[in-house]
Amino acid sequence: MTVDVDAMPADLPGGDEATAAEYVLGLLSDAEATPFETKLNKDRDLQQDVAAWQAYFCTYFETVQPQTPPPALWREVEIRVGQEPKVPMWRQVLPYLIGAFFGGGLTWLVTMIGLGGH
Amino acid sequence: MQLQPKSSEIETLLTEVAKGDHRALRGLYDCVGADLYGVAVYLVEDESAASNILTDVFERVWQMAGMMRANGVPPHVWLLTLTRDTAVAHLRQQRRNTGIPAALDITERLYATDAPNAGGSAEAVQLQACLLELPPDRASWMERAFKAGMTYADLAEITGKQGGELRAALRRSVLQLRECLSR
Repeated sequence: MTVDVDAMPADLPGGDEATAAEYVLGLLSDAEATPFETKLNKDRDLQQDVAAWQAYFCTYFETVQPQTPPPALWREVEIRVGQEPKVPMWRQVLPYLIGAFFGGGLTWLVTMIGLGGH
Repeated sequence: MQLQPKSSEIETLLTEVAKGDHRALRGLYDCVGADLYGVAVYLVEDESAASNILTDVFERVWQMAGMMRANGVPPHVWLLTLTRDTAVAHLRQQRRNTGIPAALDITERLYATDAPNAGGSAEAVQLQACLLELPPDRASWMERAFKAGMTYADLAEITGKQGGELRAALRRSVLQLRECLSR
């Protein structure tokens, strides 16, 4: 037996106008949303309905206070969009400086121990 | 938080982002990052998850900025919708992992802490007025669906109503709401 999962239940009231609100509220199943989106792409009136519902329901967020994102978050965004974060010059050369310092120190130590052994 | 006054600035920046301008993306982040992060934290109440949501939103803005105008939605609404959809996808995933009770806690919190929107936009005032004309509970079903990503199955579980009956009632209510909003 096959079940037609794409079909909306036939006895639902409201037609496309109600479905547009359900779509914005996120109440359509995936199987219902896909054919609705196909129709939406071609139907100007339906697009206006969806846009209006989005604008109305987004007013729920007007009372929400802005909050500063963590400082490191922008760097995450830059990495995601393929823009390598800008690292200051001193931080680019810092590993080499540290390496040079310890490398030099080690050379000095070995030399000193070597000299002391003789 | 009202993004509407920033709408033309957002639109200008999005036009540049659509051309691949990284500086415009940074400009947009400076312009709306705190607003969208605030919305994400409000919806998921978890700063770490909200950070991931904001990163996803800006990645999608980078990829989709050119498509923004096509659907006739004001730029600030487009950004808020993107943030809401991403946050709701996160909440649904979390609910699949942890079960319904966690989701219930979240919705109870959302409705317990909401302050009345004094000085809201014309749309906000109109929506609140029209929601009051609906039968009891309908406004909270819509709010739970929109803010917490509740499905009809979730709503049926909370209300103890039968799914089909609940859906028919909600669809009748959105038509009534639509009629009121277009007056």
